[in-house]
Amino acid sequence: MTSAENSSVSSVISARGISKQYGKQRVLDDISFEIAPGRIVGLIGPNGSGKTTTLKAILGLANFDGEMQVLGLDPRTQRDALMNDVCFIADVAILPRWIKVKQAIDFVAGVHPKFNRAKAEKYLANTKLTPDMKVRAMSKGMIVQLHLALVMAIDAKLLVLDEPTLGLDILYRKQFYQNLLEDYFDENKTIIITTHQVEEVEHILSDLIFINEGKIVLETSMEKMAGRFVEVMVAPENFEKAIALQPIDQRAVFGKMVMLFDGVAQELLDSLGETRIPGVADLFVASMKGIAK
Amino acid sequence: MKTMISLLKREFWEHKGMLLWTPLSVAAAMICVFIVPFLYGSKLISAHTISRVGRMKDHTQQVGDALANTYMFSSGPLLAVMTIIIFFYCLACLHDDRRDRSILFWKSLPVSDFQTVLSKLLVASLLIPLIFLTIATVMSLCMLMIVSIAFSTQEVFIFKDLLANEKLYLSPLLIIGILPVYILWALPSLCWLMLVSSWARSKVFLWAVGIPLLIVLLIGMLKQLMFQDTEMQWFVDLILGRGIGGLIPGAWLRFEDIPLSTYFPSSRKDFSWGQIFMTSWQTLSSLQLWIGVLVAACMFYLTVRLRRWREAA
Repeated sequence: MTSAENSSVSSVISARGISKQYGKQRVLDDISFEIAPGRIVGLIGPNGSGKTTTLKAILGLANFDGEMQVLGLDPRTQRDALMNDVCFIADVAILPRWIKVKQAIDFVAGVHPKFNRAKAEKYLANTKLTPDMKVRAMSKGMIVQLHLALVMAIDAKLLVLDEPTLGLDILYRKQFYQNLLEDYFDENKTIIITTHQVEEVEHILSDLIFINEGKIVLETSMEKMAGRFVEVMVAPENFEKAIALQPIDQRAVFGKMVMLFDGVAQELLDSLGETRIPGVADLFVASMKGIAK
Repeated sequence: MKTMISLLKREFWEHKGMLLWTPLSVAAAMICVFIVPFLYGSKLISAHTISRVGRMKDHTQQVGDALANTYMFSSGPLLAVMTIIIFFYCLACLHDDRRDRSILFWKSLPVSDFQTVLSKLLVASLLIPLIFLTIATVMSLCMLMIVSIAFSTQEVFIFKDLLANEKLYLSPLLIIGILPVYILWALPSLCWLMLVSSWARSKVFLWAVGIPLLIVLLIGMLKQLMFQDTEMQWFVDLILGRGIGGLIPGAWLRFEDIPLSTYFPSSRKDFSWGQIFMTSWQTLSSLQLWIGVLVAACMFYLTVRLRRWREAA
């Protein structure tokens, strides 16, 4: 009892038994998860897996069944208070097309108690954006820069990014995450990111949640993941032995078998061949085929 | 309060064309057209008219009084434009940002849906009429000046009598004084349009106008089939008139069956803005006005609820 209460206080997000149905289709099927402060969580799943629905539930944009506390508040009924401490970029290019840079800053400064105008202006000074520029006249990359400048100047406790770099070219994508990490993130903040481009975020994530068909397939921290999953370049002579250890996935690379193992002792695997920590993308592909939670 | 001011500013930025440039252009165009005959003088204005003006020389006080009393009539076209602008503003205000998905940006900020919807209602009911009435007053004064200058070329000097006439100052004030009555009568229409704006996924205009028309049509059919003798006009008035027509300034005359002659007596001399002001405010004792306000409040509540859960289109 007490431990449950404690966990809900210390968690930024605590979700229990969240379900959501659109018509007959079940988009979220009884999912539960906890997110602690100071983490950067990757919410990863294929199209239509329920990622965006989960984020919408967290942000109080969509109704759902189950129990959810975000910063100790229920996003369904206490959304207005919640938005003081939560920020999100729902998608690229959703800033209103008519707004000018200076109007966007004025507006956010006018409605958000935790907005630091100087910080936003400092960030914008490093871009090609000018105060009188309208969103209409901006490239996708510039819109993201403006949005990021606004968001980074808000001292929020939780930042939610839904495919923040979709459709951006590579220069902006790299810059986006670099800015986020260097100028924004600290131990009091929590970031949730959904993305298709796993490779891009893998080095900044501290936690992973894989979601497929409305269910959580894997929930782990990066440290735990490194301890649990091992990828082995199996030497041909050890093939039979390796199969006996039940790899969760295997693929051929340059004539050698690469196998992914879940929770097999490291010493045992070392004897099979060269070992390494798997990439998130490989783990994701394997997990979509089904692994034990 | 600070949030509300930011929200109102936001509306003004987004709809600057509708809210400012449209009334200014219409007013400028009207002045331009109005001034043409005076510029060309005797070529366009008949000798008969000129001689009539000449005969006014000894009656400058009456002429000044008549002009001070009626010069605000020229704001009529502007008020018609205002009605159209309010109509389209209400239809767009909760729909456009869902269509271009920028609602997700607005919703990422700590502004409640009640505040958002209220700010839009304030713009439609208060800000737009105030802007239009201000511009209409300035325009009417300009036209009055043009007439006065034209008179003075015929040695009819009415400036002194005009400036000394209290009606010159009272007319616009009385008109602005009717604004609260206008807002109360317009509330059902405003809230109906905003409700459709936040509810419809697309084709807001069709829904907003189509639903009342359909109801009227169906009732008309029912009448033909069943109650041939029943008077149904009141129902049409209720649905179409109160539902959409409330945006038209002075529509309460029809709702309350006040004869037009109380406003515009046959003799122009008896016309008085004070009279219009009085009769308008007297409609506040009308029960149907307050029922309308109550219905509007319900629609407002629904609009806020829809805004809360409606996702981007």
